[in-house]
Amino acid sequence: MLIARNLSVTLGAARVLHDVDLDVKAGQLLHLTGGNGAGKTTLLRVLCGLIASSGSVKVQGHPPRSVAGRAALAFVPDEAELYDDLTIAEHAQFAALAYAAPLEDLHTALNAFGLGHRLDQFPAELSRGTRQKVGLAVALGLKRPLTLLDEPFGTLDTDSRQVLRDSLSALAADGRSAVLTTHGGELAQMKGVRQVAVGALQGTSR
Amino acid sequence: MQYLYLISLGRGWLNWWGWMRRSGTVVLALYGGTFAVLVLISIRQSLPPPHLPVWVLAGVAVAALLSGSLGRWPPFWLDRREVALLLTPLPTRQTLVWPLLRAVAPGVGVALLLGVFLLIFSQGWQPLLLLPALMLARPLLGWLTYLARQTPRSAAPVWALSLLPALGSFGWTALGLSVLAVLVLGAALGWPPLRHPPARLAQHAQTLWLWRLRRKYKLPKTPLRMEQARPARRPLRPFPATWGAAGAMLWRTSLQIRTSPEVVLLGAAALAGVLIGFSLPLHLPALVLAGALTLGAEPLTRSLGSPANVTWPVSRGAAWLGQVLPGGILGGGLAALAVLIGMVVLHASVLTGTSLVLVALLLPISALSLTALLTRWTGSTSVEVRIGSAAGVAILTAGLWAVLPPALLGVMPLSLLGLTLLTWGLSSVELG
Repeated sequence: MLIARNLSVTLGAARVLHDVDLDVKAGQLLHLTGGNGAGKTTLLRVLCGLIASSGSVKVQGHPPRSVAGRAALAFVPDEAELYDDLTIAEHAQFAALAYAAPLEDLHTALNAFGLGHRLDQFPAELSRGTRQKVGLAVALGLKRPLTLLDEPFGTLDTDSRQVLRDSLSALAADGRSAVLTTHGGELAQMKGVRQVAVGALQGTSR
Repeated sequence: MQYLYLISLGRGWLNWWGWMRRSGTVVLALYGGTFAVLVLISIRQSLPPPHLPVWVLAGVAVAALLSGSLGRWPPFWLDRREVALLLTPLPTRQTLVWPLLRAVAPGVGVALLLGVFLLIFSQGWQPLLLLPALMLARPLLGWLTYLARQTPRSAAPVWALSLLPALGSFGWTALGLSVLAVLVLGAALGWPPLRHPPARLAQHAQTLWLWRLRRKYKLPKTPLRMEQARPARRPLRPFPATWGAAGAMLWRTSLQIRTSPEVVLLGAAALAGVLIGFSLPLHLPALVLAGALTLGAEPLTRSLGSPANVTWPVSRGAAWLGQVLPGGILGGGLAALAVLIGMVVLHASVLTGTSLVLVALLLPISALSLTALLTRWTGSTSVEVRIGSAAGVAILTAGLWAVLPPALLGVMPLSLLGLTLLTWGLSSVELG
């Protein structure tokens, strides 16, 4: 599903990633761990092509910066970024059009997160946690082969955290993969989650 | 129950008349008005009155109606007593009689005074009739715009009625009939919904009343946003799914154009500006055009740029097409049409006019293309970046148009085309 080789990133004077290799198989949930500044977010952004790095990344055989590569993945940053000029319903419509995905799947995901009654609201009218739920619902509803989530549990309430865990389990059962970062123990009770420390990945390039 | 509206009407009139007396406005108006009439009569006797061209009033009419259709709020406000009356079995139309009169009367009064002023200074009596009619039609179009935003009604009739007085460029009769048609058709469309107004009318109208109180008593600005006057649910008519991410961006951009009547200001304001500018000795057509385009550019730039952490599966070039083309084609088409009409009406020079038409056609797309590039480079989609870059291109173009000799004016369209292609090429380049 995802093959990353020899990734190195230097931001300013800091070498954040150094010779990192990473493989994610189909149906696998990968939990990246590490302290603040360990490079978890940087690694995620390299994997989805938002940050340039040395080495190579292939998502289903395509670079993540290519159209085919981006069509195979969905990324939700730690603060979901939505278009200010689109309502939630329109944002879901936009995403469905962009990925040629069924709109019904996105609406199902939005309803699962309890957002069915907010579809005609703009992002500016939502709390930070609700915006995060919208971003997660849209990303999970797209059902991409690879989903990348940066601190997805951070602003969610208890019910939404369970919905997210259930969605991730269903995602893996469908043969799709996810890579996510989190500081807490939200994934401790989930089965089949592979936990990897970013620090342990440094210098593993073959 | 039927006496309630009479009480409301009578009480509203008494309150207003009482305020006029207490504030001294009545006395001031009598003194000032008498003095002004005496001054105007003496000036009228010493200066020959100029002839007021019909196309000037036609442009004013279109601009006035468009300004009425720009708002997102109802054209009148309701205080708490009137909102309470809405909740009674009293027919809504009766409750709204006084608020409507209150909203319309000041504009009609000012228009009457202006009409008298123009009557004294020109040979035409037409403004005395047309200007008050325009001030009646303006809030009417504001009401139709509000209905289009809050209900599934189409906004197309608002656009059509706003531009109808442009036919007045062909004569006074055409201008009078077109304004009359706007009144009749607007009333026919806007009167029936008063029986069952939109659900949020009371809330929005009372919000306007609160804003008036804030201004009157100089209170801190309330945290109310324009989103509170948003459409109930905008109908979604997506592009075919096979169009992919580029089609999604095209849909998003066209959504902004279809739901923002302000875009019509692009063409109509450019028309009025060009018509006025051609009659002056300076190179003002392009300058006024630049200003009009800047005013109308904001809705077209809302869909430019993407948040920094978005990974849509679309190439940079296709994203440019989806975001820039709709606004560029619409804006360029409207502006070029405005210049062409101006040339026909004013018999402008063919050589200069051809270059100006091309500049009008290419200016919006080049400004939007540069704006899209800047929003991507800076990572900012703020209003300042969007309007600043669009206005910068427009003002620079107008400035060059004003200083270049006529023989070199043909370079301007080529420059704009080059800027468009350059920014498209740079937008298509992948970073890193």
